[in-house]
Amino acid sequence: MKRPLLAAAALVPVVLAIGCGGGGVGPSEGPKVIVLGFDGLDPELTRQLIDEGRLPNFARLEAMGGFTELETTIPPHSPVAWSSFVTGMDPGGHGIFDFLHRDPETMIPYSSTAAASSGGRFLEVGPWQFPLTSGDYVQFRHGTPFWEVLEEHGVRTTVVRMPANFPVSGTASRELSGMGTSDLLGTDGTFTFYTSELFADRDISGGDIVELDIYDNVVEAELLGPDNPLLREPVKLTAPFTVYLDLETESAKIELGDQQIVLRVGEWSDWLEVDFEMMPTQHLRGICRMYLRALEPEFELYVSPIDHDPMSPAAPISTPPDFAAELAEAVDRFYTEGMPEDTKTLTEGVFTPEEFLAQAKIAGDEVAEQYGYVLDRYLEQQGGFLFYYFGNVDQIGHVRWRSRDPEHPVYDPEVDAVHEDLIPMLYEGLDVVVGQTLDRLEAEAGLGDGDADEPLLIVMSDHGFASWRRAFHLNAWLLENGYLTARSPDPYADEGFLLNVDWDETRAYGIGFSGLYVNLRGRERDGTVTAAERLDLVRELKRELLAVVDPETGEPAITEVHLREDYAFQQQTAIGPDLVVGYAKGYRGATESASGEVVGEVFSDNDSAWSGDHMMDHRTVPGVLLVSRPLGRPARGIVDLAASILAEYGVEEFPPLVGGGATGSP
Amino acid sequence: MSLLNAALRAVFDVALRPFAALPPILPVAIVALVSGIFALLVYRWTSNQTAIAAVKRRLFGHLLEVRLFNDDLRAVLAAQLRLLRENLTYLRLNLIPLLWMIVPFMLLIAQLQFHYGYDGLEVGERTLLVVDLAPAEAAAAGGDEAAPRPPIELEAPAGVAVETAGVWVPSLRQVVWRLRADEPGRHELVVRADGGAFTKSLFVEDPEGGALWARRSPTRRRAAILDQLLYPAEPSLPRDGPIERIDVRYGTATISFFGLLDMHWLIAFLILSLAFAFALRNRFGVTL
Repeated sequence: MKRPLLAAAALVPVVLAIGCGGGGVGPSEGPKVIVLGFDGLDPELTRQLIDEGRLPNFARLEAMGGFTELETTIPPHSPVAWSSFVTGMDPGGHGIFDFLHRDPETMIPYSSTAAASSGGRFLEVGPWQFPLTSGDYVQFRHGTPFWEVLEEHGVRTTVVRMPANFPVSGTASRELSGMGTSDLLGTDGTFTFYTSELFADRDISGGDIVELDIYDNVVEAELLGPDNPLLREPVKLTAPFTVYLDLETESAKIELGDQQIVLRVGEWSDWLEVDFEMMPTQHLRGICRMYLRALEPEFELYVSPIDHDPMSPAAPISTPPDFAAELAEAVDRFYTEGMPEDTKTLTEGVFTPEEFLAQAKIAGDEVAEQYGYVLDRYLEQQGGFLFYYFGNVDQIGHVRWRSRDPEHPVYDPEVDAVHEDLIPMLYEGLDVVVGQTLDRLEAEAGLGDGDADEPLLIVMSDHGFASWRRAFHLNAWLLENGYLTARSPDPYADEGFLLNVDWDETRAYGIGFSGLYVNLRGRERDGTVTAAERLDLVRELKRELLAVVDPETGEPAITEVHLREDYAFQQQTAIGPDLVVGYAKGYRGATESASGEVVGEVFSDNDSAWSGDHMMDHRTVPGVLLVSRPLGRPARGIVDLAASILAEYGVEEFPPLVGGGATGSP
Repeated sequence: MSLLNAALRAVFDVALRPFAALPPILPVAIVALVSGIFALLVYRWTSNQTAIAAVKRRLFGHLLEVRLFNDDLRAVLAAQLRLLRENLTYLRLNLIPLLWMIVPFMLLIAQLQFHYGYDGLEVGERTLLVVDLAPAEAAAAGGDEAAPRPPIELEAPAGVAVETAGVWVPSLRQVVWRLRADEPGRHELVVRADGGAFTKSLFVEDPEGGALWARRSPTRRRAAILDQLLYPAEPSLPRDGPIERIDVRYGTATISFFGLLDMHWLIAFLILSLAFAFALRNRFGVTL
């Protein structure tokens, strides 16, 4: 009789010990190395702001170790450059050449970094299908992430929001995916804009506009999810919500599931949980934010892309899988999509600049707040490696750079003069992050002590930034010069995605922002150019492209063209473009051409809100490198940094592909 | 009923106050121990212990029968039928003590639910105050979207910010305010309607003060019997008043079960009270 009680009593201390136990501190793991990745931080502007005294902590870091330009990749696109940072290889090695690649067998473009694959086999019962094997996400990046090498050498690594790392590699101790992470729909982020405006219903880039009716000041609507994976026929998952309008107080009560909120016009909600029922007992969970834009004269409600709920993500966004939930519990739920700043709201005219900036601030504040928690946990360790990414400057820079450029075609003094100092202010925000990190490292980790294992802080960016004034329509140029033939004589009827290309009469075509491909026999589905003719053709294309002059300005539009043979690594060149076009500063490949459209003009003014860019001649948009002490193994380019980081931990030999890429190590 | 609820609130507030800053599994376990002993005593006094012991013996015998004659289908089926019949008898014998226990346990669970079933607000957190008007009050206000809003006002004490004007939802007969908790403590909100003043408590946690677990009332309702039984955490609203109910939205709380996993307090309570009752049944001479 007494035995059960005694056993229970004996169990209590054990149970309490389990309950109270936290993560222990591991053994010594080399020096502390923190890399802060500031996407799009421009060296010229950074230099200017340091000199003006506006970035005191950048200046402090420069004084400690140095500030140099960091050579970016060819082409200087974010997923390309970050993949080079991760693997120490150029695109010929890691296989990420652009935002878009194409399948030469089907000529269908696809995202270059990752794709989702549904479960292979299903058990079909009536209208239902039950997956027998689980679906998966495929990471297209080749090569070994440098943190994997560190882990193999006993160094604990934390890698937060690394671009082009979705699905997560699974090889860091703690990892959260970054740029390239899809929303619940599987897109880069698709918002929904609900409006009572008549005939507003339409699909726009990056979003849907949904027209709805109001009865007795009540709106009944649905959040739109992905297709129900358990149904054989494609049927969208939906989550109903109701909005009760109170015109007198200019506010509304919104009910979504068992959640209720009140928003005034112009207010953002906190994160709301979205529950899509696939079938009884089976649910797909996401999160969204709402923004009540207007009640009169039209009802307007913005709903953010529905992201994976970090508390129970349906995709592999973190390592270990509950790390995302840990971050959400520590701070709050957060945008899990790779590029949370919803730039499409601005480029598609849904938001005003102020509304977009408010949304971007929410996204940026989340990242900054979460950094505090991650830094706290990291500093509890003995050593180890930490990477943390900030993308606010890049995304806001893309859509607001024009406020820094009165020569930009759509510069509007009334609107842009107000935001003239916006981007420098964002840099000042990053300066605060640098200061916070330096202070903590000095106080808690011995930064500046001069010890052998003194911590190292690296601030780096993948590329710089420039104004994008003029667009070059590569496919139109190819058409005009007889390299490409369109199926439809009306180029304005083009649906894009290479659907208007007459492959039998085409020798070269463009897809992606810098990629130019030869329609190669044996590789492309309807190839016309033989392998023997290929090299002559690419040399000819290079020569002619370098001679292109913008009739509007009289200046060359293209200042470098690289052949795929120029890459140091040749393992993955079969999927990459035959030529990479480097546009002169101020020029960029047109968006239409990037998606495989053949429009009727070669040059056009960039009249989009997307006014800043970096997909140009890589020499004109270098990144930034600041270090708290000189690197043991110096890095000239972003491709060299992996080797430099490994060297800080005494890892010099592995892997053979690390470092010494296209830019070479000094 | 109101007097009983008031007395129970006072008793539980006083009894649970010493545990406010401790892990809630501790008071839940103590209450479960007391409840287990209470259940055993009720069993001993109200159940037919001889009959329960006899039916358990017969159940065991029929189980042996199934095991021993498993090659004889007819015998096994007959034993199964007898098992079913004895099970029903066993349930019937348990019914009387269960009937004796149902009311005290309901009162107990209702009180504990408002101590451990809801997360208090944190400082800075937002919630909604939802006032449901009585049909007559809403009808007087018009009750349709063109009607003027009812003359209803909210007064919040210092420490609670009212962030929005009351949103009038005629189709739900509701007025809704968004509140922000600025200071910890138990705050009293006052809703003024139809010449009357109706209070509603709002609990904001004080993580530094230590008193994390205290009575939280997500709803205050009219004095219907069932509502008084289920929602005893605040005095009932007047039955003929203009307001049907006042709600504050708290999150659902979970408690740590000795650090093993998080669960709703009621599950922990049921597990522990059953475990204690079974562990102590012989000492109290009770056959369960």
